[in-house]
Amino acid sequence: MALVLSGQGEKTSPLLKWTRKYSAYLCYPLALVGMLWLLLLPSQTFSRRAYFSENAMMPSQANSKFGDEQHLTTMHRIDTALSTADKLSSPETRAHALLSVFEAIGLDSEIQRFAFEEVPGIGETKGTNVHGILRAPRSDSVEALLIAAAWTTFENKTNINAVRMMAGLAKFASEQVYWAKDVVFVVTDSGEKGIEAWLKAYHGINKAAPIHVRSGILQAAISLELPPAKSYEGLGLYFEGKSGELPNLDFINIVQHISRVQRIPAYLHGMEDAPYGASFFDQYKQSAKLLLRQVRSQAISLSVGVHAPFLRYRIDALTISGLVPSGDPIALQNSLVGSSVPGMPAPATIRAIGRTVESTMRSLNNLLEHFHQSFFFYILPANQRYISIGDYIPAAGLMIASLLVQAMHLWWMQGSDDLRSDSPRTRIERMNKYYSFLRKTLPSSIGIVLRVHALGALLFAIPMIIPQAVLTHTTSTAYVFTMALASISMVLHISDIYWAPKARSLVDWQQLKAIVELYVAVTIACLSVMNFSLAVVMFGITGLPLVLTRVCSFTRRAYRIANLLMLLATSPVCILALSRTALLGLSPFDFTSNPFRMFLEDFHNFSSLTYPLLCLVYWPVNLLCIVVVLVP
Amino acid sequence: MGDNTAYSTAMCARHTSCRSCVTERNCGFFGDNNVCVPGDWLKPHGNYTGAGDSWRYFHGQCYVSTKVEFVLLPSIFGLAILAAAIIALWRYWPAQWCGLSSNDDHLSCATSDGAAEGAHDHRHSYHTAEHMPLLIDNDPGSRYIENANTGPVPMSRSNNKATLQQVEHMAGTGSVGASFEEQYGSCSGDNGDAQSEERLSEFLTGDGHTNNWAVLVCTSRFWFNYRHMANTLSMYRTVKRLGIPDSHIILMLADDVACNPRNRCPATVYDHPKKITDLYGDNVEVDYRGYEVTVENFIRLLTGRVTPETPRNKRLLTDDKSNVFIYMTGHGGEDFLKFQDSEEINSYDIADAFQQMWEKQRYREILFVIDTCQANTMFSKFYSPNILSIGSSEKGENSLSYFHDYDLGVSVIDRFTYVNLKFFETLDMASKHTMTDLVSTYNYSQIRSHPGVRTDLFKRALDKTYLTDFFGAVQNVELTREPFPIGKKQ
Repeated sequence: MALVLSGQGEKTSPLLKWTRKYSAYLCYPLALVGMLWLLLLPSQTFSRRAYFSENAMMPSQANSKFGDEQHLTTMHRIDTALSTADKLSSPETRAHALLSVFEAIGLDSEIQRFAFEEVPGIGETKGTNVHGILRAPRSDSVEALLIAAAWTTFENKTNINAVRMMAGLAKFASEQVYWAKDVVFVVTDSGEKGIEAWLKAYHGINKAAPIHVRSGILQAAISLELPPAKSYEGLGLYFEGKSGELPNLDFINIVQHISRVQRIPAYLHGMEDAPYGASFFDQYKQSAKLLLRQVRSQAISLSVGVHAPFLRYRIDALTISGLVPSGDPIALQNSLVGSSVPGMPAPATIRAIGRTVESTMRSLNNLLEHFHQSFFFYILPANQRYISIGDYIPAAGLMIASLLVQAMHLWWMQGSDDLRSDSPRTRIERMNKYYSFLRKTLPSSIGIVLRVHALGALLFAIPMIIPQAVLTHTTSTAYVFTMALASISMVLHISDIYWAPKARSLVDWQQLKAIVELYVAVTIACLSVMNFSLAVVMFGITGLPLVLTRVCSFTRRAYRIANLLMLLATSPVCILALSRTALLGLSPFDFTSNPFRMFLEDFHNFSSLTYPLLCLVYWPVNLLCIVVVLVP
Repeated sequence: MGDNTAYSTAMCARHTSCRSCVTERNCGFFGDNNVCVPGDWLKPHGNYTGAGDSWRYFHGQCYVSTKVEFVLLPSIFGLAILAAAIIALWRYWPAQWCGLSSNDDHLSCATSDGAAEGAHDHRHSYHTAEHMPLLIDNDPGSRYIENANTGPVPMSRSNNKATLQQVEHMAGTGSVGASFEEQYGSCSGDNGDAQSEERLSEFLTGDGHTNNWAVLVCTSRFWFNYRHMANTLSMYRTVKRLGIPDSHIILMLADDVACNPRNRCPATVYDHPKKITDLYGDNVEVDYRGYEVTVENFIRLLTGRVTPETPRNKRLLTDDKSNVFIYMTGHGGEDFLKFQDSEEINSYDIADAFQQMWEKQRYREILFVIDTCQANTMFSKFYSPNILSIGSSEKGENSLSYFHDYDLGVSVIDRFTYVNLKFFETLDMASKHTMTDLVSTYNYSQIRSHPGVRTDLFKRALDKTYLTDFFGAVQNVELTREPFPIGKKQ
């Protein structure tokens, strides 16, 4: 505050004077260094080698024994049960087939039937979950580990291999005496939403579809995703939650370590490292690619497997996914004939994956409490390497600082020049002028901000109010474009008001921009400690355009137009249309499914932050930037 | 059959020397008349009579005659001797056993000449012991009989003819010297009361130790610290095997591994992947269990500042004649040792506790052994006399584990403790090994850290300090002719 007030000719220290002198230019190097910092992250020198922080886990310290004849037989039993249940036909018969297998192994099993809405107002979809609980033979049921799978994979293939694997593991686990925690096996037919419904019921929130066979607190969960294949060339690890939550780093480390011991290495996001001895540039490229995938998963909650809902309930979870080699016979066959039950993977593959899961479960079983030793905030630039929060958060700090410094400078610069004289004689006079200036302009600045946010709130609320069925059938993209037009016309209207000669003195663009910058800085600062990727993305789409808005006095109309074009390029409509191609692999003209709907779905089902941020921060800030450019 | 015999006869007859004859499976050699004939190892085949019955018949080898008498007669002799031995053992067994369990120096009487005659009297030696509660009671409140440490003296033959009286007391074998009656008069008739009194007082005021105690502390908890519990239980087993009874062992153990649900072999603790010795097998008395293992309890135990309601098995009932062995293991660092992930004891705490013990005359000598990371720092602050300290690793060094059991999924023993235990396995109650022998077994290549021995507070030389002074307590047998005159002459 002293800094801000000192602009009005108060007593100043040399440092303050220096800051004031260069504040106009300081924000650019700050933002630049912040972004350079981000660019440094993929280089190997920045990251450290992963290590096990928790002593109790003891990964790969015990012989793994999965893969007996009996376990393979149990896996086949899934096929037999399914073939009598008319081959994957209805979810109900499929669930009963699985239930019979679970019960034959000796698990406490139950079928949960539930209904959910994908987006509000669209009507309910029915789903079925089956779960079986293996009671720890010599322990009380106060803690549990969980293995989950969906019937279909992320790429919409059958996930029957994972279900088979679960049956085999259940059989194996039922033979062991060393469980200190119950082991829960969950199979859902509705993907993440099914798991969410199950978790709600498990924790007693879902009163409509309760479950009765329960265990203790869920300590950790592994989700399996094994597309049809004869063998896998490796495993992919996916770990980001719906709002950028991450499982404890120890969990990822032990899975990476164990899978290496079992000779079926698990790669982060299924990406191998650059080969040993690769050039710095190749390594950098590979790391950058991996980091960008994490940013994508964290920022827009695009996840593989069904681990994401668990993280919301403070259950450390990740997905282990099989990487299908090109030209795999079963994968090829299955892509040709969609409906038939694909063949079993090779026994060696089954053994390797089964033992990886077994060994991981045994390691988790050794845990005495929740994962707590290692990092919860990290980014992973390569397999078995990590960057801790202390090493990457300065980047966010610098970006926020650039916003704040510019806001400070603009606050000093608001109003006419005679407010900024250093002469002590005119101090009282200046104070009075300053007061009357603020009195006049501040209400209109805040009014503009509120009006634009009201528009954002409307955008946010419409899907909750109007039945979504109408929107889906007309295409929600059309609705987004309508909103875009509405907001642009509002912006034009607002800026038009203040071009009138009488209203000119009511608005000061510097003041308006300073307020918006403060607001954005606070938002990004909060985000950066929760979801760093989203914070970086937010800076890229709101903070940076904001810093670059109206950097010079508009002596020519061309400057103003260029600035407007930049803001339109970073506007939500443009970015969403571009990102659907870049991120989701959709055509820009495929209007049936769009990111907007995806975000809405995540918000409705998992309270993901992306949708509210889009409606309440990103969109309004972009509009406010346009207002800043357009006002006199 | 006849053809066969004729054929074999011909085959055998070809051989003229014993050496070639015995190479045929079906031939035997008569040494007297140098003929080779058909036959098995026992005798020549039935119808062969040509060579008569020589005593020198060889089959398969040319050294020992296998003639039937030479096989049978020794067998009969052997059986007869075995039978005699069994009968003798059956009859004289208690005397034999008693002799074997005590010190070698005292045995000569009990095992050799005294055994046969004294055997039948031995049975009421247990009864006579009851008449002398003062001598067998280990209560620190009472005084103890102890031996001066002079050299071994063989018993005279005359003692063995007299009635044998057994006197039991607790003492380390190392300091056990002359036999009881030799020093204090075995026969009151021969020596007279004055001499007996004199020797008794000398005995009671000697400066040797009279009782051994062990405090074994595992300061860790949780399944992954299995090895610390195994360390402690192994040490417990060893001191118990070497003769310290449960009443003199304070075992502090979190005790959560044997019945941990994670234990693949429920209710067992092993210190070796081969799982031969179950350390949790039978007769394990844990005095401080689970959450009772705290710094406060440990210090209270050492200094004797326990609440009045504390049971005897949770008290260290030592006196100024007690040799105390203290073993600690767990996770530590420079000048501290963690107690169960919740608190720490530091080296000053232990040093002060020992000083209090010394001031309160609660020990004669202490052997402090600690196996933890940077263990040598833990005894660096000691300042009380008569403490010998051994630690597993120097400052800045880790103490590492030795065996890993891939079945259980945990490490089962630490290196330093393993080296110690391995050496102790070669000991028995009567062994004469000294501290020097123990310390000389430490080598970096096996322990992977540098064990430290602190001797400046300890008055005796290490090569004069027997291991059994601390690790063993032997119930010595003292033989007197008549009941010892305690109480009679007060």
